[in-house]
Amino acid sequence: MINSQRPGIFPIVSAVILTIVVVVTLYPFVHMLAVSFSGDIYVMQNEITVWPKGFNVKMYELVLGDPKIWTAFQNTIVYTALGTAISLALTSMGAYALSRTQMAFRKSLTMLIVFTMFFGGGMIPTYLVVRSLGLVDTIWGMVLPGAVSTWNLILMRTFFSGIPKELEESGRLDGLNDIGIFLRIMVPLSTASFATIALFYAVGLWNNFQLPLLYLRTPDTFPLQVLLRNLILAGTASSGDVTRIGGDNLIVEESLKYATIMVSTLPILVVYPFVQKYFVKGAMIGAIKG
Amino acid sequence: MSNVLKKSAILLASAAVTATILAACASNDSKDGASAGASSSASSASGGEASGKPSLKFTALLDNNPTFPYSKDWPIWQWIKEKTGVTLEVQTPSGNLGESLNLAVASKEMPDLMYMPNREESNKFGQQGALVDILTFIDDMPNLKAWMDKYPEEAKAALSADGKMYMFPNQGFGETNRSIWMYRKDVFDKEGLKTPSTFDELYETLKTLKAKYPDSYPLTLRYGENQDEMLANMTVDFETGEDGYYDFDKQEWRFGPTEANYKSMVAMWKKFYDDGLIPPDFLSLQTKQWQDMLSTGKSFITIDYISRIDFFNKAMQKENPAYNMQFMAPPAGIAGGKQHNPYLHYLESGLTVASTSKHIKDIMKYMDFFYSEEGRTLVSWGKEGETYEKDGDQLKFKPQYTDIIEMRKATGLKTSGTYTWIDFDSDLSLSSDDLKYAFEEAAKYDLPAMQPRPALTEQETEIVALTGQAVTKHRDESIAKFVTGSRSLDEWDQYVKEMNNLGVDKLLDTYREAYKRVQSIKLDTK
Amino acid sequence: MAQASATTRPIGKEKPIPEPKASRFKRLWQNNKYLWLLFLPCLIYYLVFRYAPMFGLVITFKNYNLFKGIWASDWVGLKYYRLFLNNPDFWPLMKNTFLLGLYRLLFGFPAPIILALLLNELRKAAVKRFVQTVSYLPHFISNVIVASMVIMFLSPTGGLVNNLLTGLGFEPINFMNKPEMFRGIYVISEIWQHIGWETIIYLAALTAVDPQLYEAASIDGASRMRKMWHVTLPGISSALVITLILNIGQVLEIGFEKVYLMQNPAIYDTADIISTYVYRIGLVQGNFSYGSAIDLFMGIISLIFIYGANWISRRVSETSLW
Repeated sequence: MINSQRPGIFPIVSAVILTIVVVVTLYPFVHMLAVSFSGDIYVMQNEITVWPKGFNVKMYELVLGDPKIWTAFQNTIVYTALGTAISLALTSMGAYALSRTQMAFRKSLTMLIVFTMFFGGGMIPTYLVVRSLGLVDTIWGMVLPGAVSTWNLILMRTFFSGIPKELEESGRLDGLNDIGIFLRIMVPLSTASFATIALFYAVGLWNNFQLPLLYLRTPDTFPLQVLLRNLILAGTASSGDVTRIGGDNLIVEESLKYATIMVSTLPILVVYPFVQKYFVKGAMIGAIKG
Repeated sequence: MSNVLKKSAILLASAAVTATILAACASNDSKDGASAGASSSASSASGGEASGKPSLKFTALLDNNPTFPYSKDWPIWQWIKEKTGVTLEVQTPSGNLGESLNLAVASKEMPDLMYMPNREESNKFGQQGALVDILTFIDDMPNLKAWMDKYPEEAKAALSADGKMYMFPNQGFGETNRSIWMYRKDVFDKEGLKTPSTFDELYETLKTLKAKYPDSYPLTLRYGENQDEMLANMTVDFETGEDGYYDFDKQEWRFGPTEANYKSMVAMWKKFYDDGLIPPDFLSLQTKQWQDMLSTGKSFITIDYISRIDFFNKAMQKENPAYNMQFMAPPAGIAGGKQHNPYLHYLESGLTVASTSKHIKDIMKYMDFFYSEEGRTLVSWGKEGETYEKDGDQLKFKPQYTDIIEMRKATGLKTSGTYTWIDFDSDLSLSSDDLKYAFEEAAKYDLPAMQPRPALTEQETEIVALTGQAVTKHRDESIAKFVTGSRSLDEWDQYVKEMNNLGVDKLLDTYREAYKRVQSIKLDTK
Repeated sequence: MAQASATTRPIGKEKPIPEPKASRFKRLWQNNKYLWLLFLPCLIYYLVFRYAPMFGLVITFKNYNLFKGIWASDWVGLKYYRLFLNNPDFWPLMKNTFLLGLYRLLFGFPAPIILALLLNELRKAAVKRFVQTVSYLPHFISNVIVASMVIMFLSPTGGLVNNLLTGLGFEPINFMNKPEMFRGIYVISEIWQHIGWETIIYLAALTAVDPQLYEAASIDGASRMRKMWHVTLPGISSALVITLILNIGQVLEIGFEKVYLMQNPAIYDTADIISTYVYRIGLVQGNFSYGSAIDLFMGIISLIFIYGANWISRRVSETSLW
C-alpha cells in the first residue's frame, strides 16, 4: 500500500459522505427505539428525540405478552428457514444452468423468465392455481408460490458467469458431469453470492405478510408479521372506535408501531453479520490459485 | 437474434399450452372443490333437538376487529344458540375482508353467511348471482317485515339497483361514526371566549386565539388522512355538498363543488390559511401531528369522531387536570344559515347469504330473530342476570362492566355478525358524561334526513368510478390550490367550466336516474 | 467500458455446422442433460406459478364476473384499453410515472454503487461493518411509516428539517405543498430506504475482484481514484450492467403505496401516477378487468424498455440478459 503518500481530498470526502449516511439512516431508528420506550404523554406531546422520557416497557409487554406471539415467532422461523433453503436450491441450480454458454435454449429461457417480471395472472388466478394444487393453508403455500425471484435468479446467473471457464474444464477432466461441477466446484466458490441471495430471500420471507394473508387460514399458523400487523391495526385509532387494547391505558399509535418494528426487525438484523463473514475480498480467486 | 426469437416463440407456445392445461385442471378442480365444500357443509347440518330448537350449523365469514379479535368462546354465541339453536362455524379473514370475499366468491367456496364491508360490494356480488335476494323470503320473516315498516329508510338503503335486497338492513349501530366539532373548553373559559355559532364568529374567535397564542394554529383537522369526512363536515356547514347531493327542499340533485356556497366555503378556508389560523400543511397533516397539536396547546378547535372527546380527556387530564375537550355546535357558514352536522351515523356493512348455500330457508329464519325486540335486547345488552339487570323499564349493565371495549372483548357483544338492530342506549350507558352530553347535543344538529345513496347498476358504477374519479381529483386539486393561493379565486368561473367539461352533468344524470329507479321501487312486503 | 465495445462479439454466434437432425438432437441432449436436470425444478416453478395463472390475463378483454368465473364472463373486447387510453388524465399520468421512475433510476441507481465503492476503500473492518449494517436499517421500515416520517420531518410546523432551516435563519418551506419538490423528495426517500440494501449486491460482486490487480496497479503508482476506476469498476461491471438493465425495466413499476401515502391534492400535478390512479379507481369499484388491462399495458411498455436496454447493452458491452 504505497499510495498513502497522497492523503488528498478523497478520505475527507469519503468520511463526510459515510458520516452523513450513518446519521440519516441511524437517527430514525434511534428515534423509534426511544419512542417505543417512552411514556404515552411525552409521545403525544412530541417530546421525544433520541432518548426515552418516562421510560417504560409497556409496549413491549403488550407485544410480547400476547401468548400467540411465540408460536408466531416459531412459524416465521420455520417458514424463513424452509423457504430460504428451497428458494436458494431452485435459484442456484437454475441460475447455474442458465449461466453456461453450452446450455441449449438458454437465451430463450431467459427471455421467458424475464417476461414474467412484467406479466402475471394477478391475485385471483394465482390463488386459484395455488388452491387447485392443494397448497392453501399449508406450509407449502407459504414457501412455494414465491420460491424463485426473477431478479435474484438473474443476479445469481451473473455471478456464476463470472467464474472462469477453466474451472469447469478442470472439473470435466476429473470426470465430473455438470451436476458434479456445480456441487463440487461452483457452490464452494460462490459463498458470497449464496450468502447474498440467501439473505435477500430470508429477509423477504421474514417480512412477508402478503402470502400468509392470502394462503393461510388457521390462526395458529400465522407468522409474526401478520400478528404484529393485527396488533398495529388494533392500536390504530383511525376509525370511529377509539381503541384501548391496554385496559385503561391509551395506546399511542407511534409507540406501539415502533415497538413492533423493533420486535420484528432485531432478530433478522442479527443474521447480517453472519452474511458479512462471506464478503471476503478475493475469496474466490484465492481458492482458484490455492 | 431472429433465431433466439423463433426459439422463444416455440417455447412460449409450448408454455402456453402447458399453462392452459394446468389452468383447465385448475378450473375443473375448483368445480369439484365447490361441490365437495357444499356437501360437507350440508352434512354438518345434522339434525338433533336441543332445548326445543333444532340444532343447526352454518358456516360464516365474519369480519375480525383486531381490537376485540374473534373468539368462539364468547358467551354471545351461546346466548344466540339458546334462542335460535344455531351455531356458526366462523372463519375470519387473515387480512383484508374484501380480499377474502373476492377469493371465496372466485373459488366458489362461499360460506353460508358472509359479512360484507359495504353495500357496493354486496350489490355487485348480488347482481352477479352470488347472493340471495332476502325479499323473496320475506314471508318467512315476520319480524323483518314488521321492522321494515318501522324503518323504511334503512330498509330502502339496503336495496340494490335491481330492486333486490342482498344485505340485511341495520339500525342503531352507526352512532359511533358521528363526526363533530370539538373545542378546548378550559382555554375558552380562561380567555373569556364564547363558542361561535357562525363562521364569521369562528373567524374572530380564531383570530383572538391566534393573538393570544401566536405559536398556535387554533383550528386543525385531519384533512390529510381523512379528507372525505372533513369535506363532508365543511360542506354541510355551508349548506352544499362535497359531491353530487340531493337537495330535499328543492327536490333535485345538485353538484356541490361548483356552487356559490362552495365558493364561499373555499374563500373562508383561504382566509383561515392566509391568517395562519390553520396549519400551513393541513393538506398533508398526519394523525400524529394533529394529535400533538391538540395535546400541546398548539390547537384548540378540531373536527373528528365523537369518541375523540374521551380519547383526549382521558389521556391529557392525567398531566393537566384542567384539560377539557368538549362538544361544539357546528357553526353556520352562511349568514342566517342552519347549523348542521353531516349525516354520517349509518353503517354500511352487514351480513349476506350465499346463493350456493344449502340452508337458505333456515338462515332466513335465524336472521329474522335479530329483528325482534327480544333479539335486539339480546345483542345490545346480553343476557339478563349475567350482563344486565332490569331497573323498572330501564336496562342497566351490571357494575362489573364499565367500558364498552372491554365488554365487547369479554362477551363478544356487538362484534361482527352478531347484530343487525341495536339499542344504542346500551353503548351510551357506559360512556363518560362528556361523551353522553356530546351524543345528546350532536343529535340536535342532525340533518332532517340521510342523503339518499341509491344503488347503482354495473354500468352506472363504471361511470361514477371513472368520471367521478376525474371530477373528484380536479375538485381536490383546485380546492387545494385556491386555499393555498397558488390559484386565484378570481378564476372560480374558469374552474366551474373545467369541472363541467369533465362530466359533472353525466354524474348528476346518473344519480338522478338511479334515485328515480330506487324511489319507484315499492318495498313490497306483501 | 468503451474499449469493450470494440473487442469481443457476443459468443455463440458462429455459423452452425449442418448435420443430420436426429444426431444433432442426440448431441444436444448428451451435452445438456445434466444442465437441463439442474434447470428443471426452476422451469416447473415458472410454468406452474408464473405461466399457469396467466390465463387470468383473459379478464382484460372480459367483464370479469367473479361468481360466474373467468371463462363464463362476457367478452368486452378492447373496452378497458380504450377507457384507459381515452382517459383525460392518461398523458399526465404517464408523464408523471415515467419521470418519477426516470429520476429514481438516474439518482437511485448510482447511489448504492458509490456507497459500495466508498465502503470498499475503508481500511478498518469494524468501521466498514458498522456503516454497512446501519445503512441497511431503513430497509426494514414499512412504507407506511416511511411516508409518515417523511411528511413529519418536512412539516413546516415543527418538522425537523424546517426547524433546522429556521434555526439557520431561513424561512420555513412547505415542502409537501410544492409540486416541483415532490419528485426530489420521493427519490431521496427511496435512496434513503434502499441504499444500504442495494449495496450488498455490489459488495458481493467485489469479492470476486482479484487482489493481485490492486497490487499491480499500486506498483504502477496508481492513485486510489485511478484504481477504483481501472480495477474496481471493471471488476464489477457485469453486475453493474445487469442491475442497470433490470432497473431500466422497472422504471414504470412504482409501487402505489408510498406515493399514495405521500401525495396530497396540492401536488397531484407531479405526484399522481398510474398506480395511484388505479388504486383510486379500484377503491370505488373493485374492477379487476380495468386494473389488469392497465397492468398489461404497462407491462408491454416495460418489456420494450428492458428489451431496448438489453439490445443496446449487447452492442456496447459484453454483458446482456440474453
